[in-house]
Amino acid sequence: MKRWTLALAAALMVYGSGAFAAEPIKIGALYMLSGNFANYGTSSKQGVQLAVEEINAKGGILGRPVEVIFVDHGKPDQAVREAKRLILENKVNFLFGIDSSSVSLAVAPVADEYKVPLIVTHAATPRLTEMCLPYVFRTSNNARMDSWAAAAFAAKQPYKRWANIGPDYEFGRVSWEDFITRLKELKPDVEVVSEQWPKFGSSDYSSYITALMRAKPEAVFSALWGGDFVSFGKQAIPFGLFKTIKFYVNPTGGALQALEPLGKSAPEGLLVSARYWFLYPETEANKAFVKKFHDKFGAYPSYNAGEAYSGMMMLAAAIEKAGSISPDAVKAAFEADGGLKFESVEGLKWMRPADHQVFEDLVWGYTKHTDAYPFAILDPIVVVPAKDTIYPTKCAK
Amino acid sequence: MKARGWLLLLLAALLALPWLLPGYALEVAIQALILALFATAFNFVFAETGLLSFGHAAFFGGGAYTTALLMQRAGWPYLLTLPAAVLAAALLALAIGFFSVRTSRIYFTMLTLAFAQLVWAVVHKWYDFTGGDNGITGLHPGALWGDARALYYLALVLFALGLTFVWRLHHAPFGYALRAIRDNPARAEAVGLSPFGYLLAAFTLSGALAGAAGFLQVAWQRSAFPDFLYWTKSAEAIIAAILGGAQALFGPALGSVVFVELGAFVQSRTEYWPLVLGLVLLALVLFLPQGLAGLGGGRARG
Repeated sequence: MKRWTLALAAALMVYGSGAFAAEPIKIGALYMLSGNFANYGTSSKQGVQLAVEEINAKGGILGRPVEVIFVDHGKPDQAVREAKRLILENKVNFLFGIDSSSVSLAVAPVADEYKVPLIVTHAATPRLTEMCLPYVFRTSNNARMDSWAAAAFAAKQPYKRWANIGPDYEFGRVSWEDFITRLKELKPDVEVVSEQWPKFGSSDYSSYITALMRAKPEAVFSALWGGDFVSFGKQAIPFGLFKTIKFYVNPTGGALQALEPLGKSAPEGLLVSARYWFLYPETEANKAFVKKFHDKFGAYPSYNAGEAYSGMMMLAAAIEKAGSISPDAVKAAFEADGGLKFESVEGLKWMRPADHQVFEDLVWGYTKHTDAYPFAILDPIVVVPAKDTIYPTKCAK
Repeated sequence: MKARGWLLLLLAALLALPWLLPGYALEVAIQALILALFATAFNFVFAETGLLSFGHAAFFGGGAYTTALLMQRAGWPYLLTLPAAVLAAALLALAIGFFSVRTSRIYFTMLTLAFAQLVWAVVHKWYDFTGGDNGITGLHPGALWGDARALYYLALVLFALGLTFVWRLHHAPFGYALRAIRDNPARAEAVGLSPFGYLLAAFTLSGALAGAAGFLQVAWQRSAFPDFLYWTKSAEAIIAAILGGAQALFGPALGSVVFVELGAFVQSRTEYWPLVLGLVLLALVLFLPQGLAGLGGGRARG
């Protein structure tokens, strides 16, 4: 017993005396690493791993290496406990990540209370940044911007009879509401003929599909994502849904987690997006990122992997600019000069100082099959400029 | 006398804990206390009446949402919401119990489950009032109760009160009546005990205690979520009771401490927590059917 205590004391002394040249910058990353949507969390984690590897290979941030602790965030109560553990026990300097919207809303006030900056890379509820918390930042676009972009496309189409099929929870409801409100502003003569709300995580969509088809819409908006989009797509094809409607728009249908499982069976000509699409932009930086990612993990980076990678790089840029890891210095670096502008592999990201929401060009495209990939890709690509996605915020600055 | 000595020692240790534990361990300890109160509340009905409620999440969540809504919408100070949370949970238990306690065994379990899921669905969908699946977030209980040590003592006091309450009821004529109804409803009725009234009273009191646990959870989490009302929350109380030993007074609390501490330990290392939990439960059911309390000689409640 005594010997152990001595050894421990010695170890602590070595540690305390600065035997390790530079103390690492600690980042606690919370992602959805278990359950039905674990494939989202896993790819986000890979994006972070690649970013940190590159940062450390170049000597870290401010000469300090970056150390990331990955945690499965689970449901909101588990996530709050894990966030507290990262803050109180691991003494992390930053919290990072988060896939689920409800988890982001639960963790944000806790991070803010402990003054540990939280950088969100995936969760997309507009409410997160509308809480106006001083130490909470989002480096990816949110669901409202996606819906507004979809509405802008829809307004240019001649179709008037619209229908919706979306997951029956906050994200699906808000996406549709934002979309249809915006569309009616842009094109007052549209008419809603049907709204279908399957449960989130459903496996049987046939009754919703037939109900949708009975209403004879010309165009359909859908915020089904991940496995829901895959199940819905697989069942809608034999019903001929995509042949009877003229236009289908889905803000999250361009995720690789949706297109890869559908493979060659995916219908062509659907207008879909993802917050990042691995074949865009066609810059050297992006091509290099995709190649490195593919070499390391044997897969193309999904949108949330791209967002996680870019988010980590943007945080690194903010810390470098701040010259310190103090929460207030980093906050100031994000906010100063009209908001941090960061050139990421997916293009320019601008942090709006008032609400800490990033704005960036949004990538949309029509699904199309090619010989080069075993799944549908976006071709042609249509880009919505960042300035067209800027919505008013209630946060004051 | 000897038992009393141990009890005092335990109490002293519990009182000293906030000054010994580092920040995070204290946070976990608070969670363990909250679950301990919740599991004790659940187990009161289970142990005394033999009725397994799968709907206690409704009372836990009912209490939590009462506190959260009063804080958010009416600006009540945190502590003042306690009576309201307990009352709301009791009323909810009274209503659900009114329909459920007439049935027995599996029917009772299924009915309580169904009612609780109904309450969950209402909270989950009613965006304008409860915030739907976004929950109610950013609830700070104020400078005093926002402090982990203060919250720990508040949780400890409520848990101690809850446990004492359950212990007193166990030894009161009320407890004897409940056990008589459990063991032989026909004979109990023959001697003039009305099962319906007794069971409903027990269920309502148990729901009220669960509401107090929900009240605590809001301060710890700084938010309220529909998950508080989901059946998995009910399962946590059941697992804690089985883990610790449903027949012992301290059993559910012991099980809660193990459940929370083990969960915090395992979840921070792997994402396979359900697997570990399953194995632990399997081992317990097979080798230690009395729960962890069975290790102490299997003595039932004292």
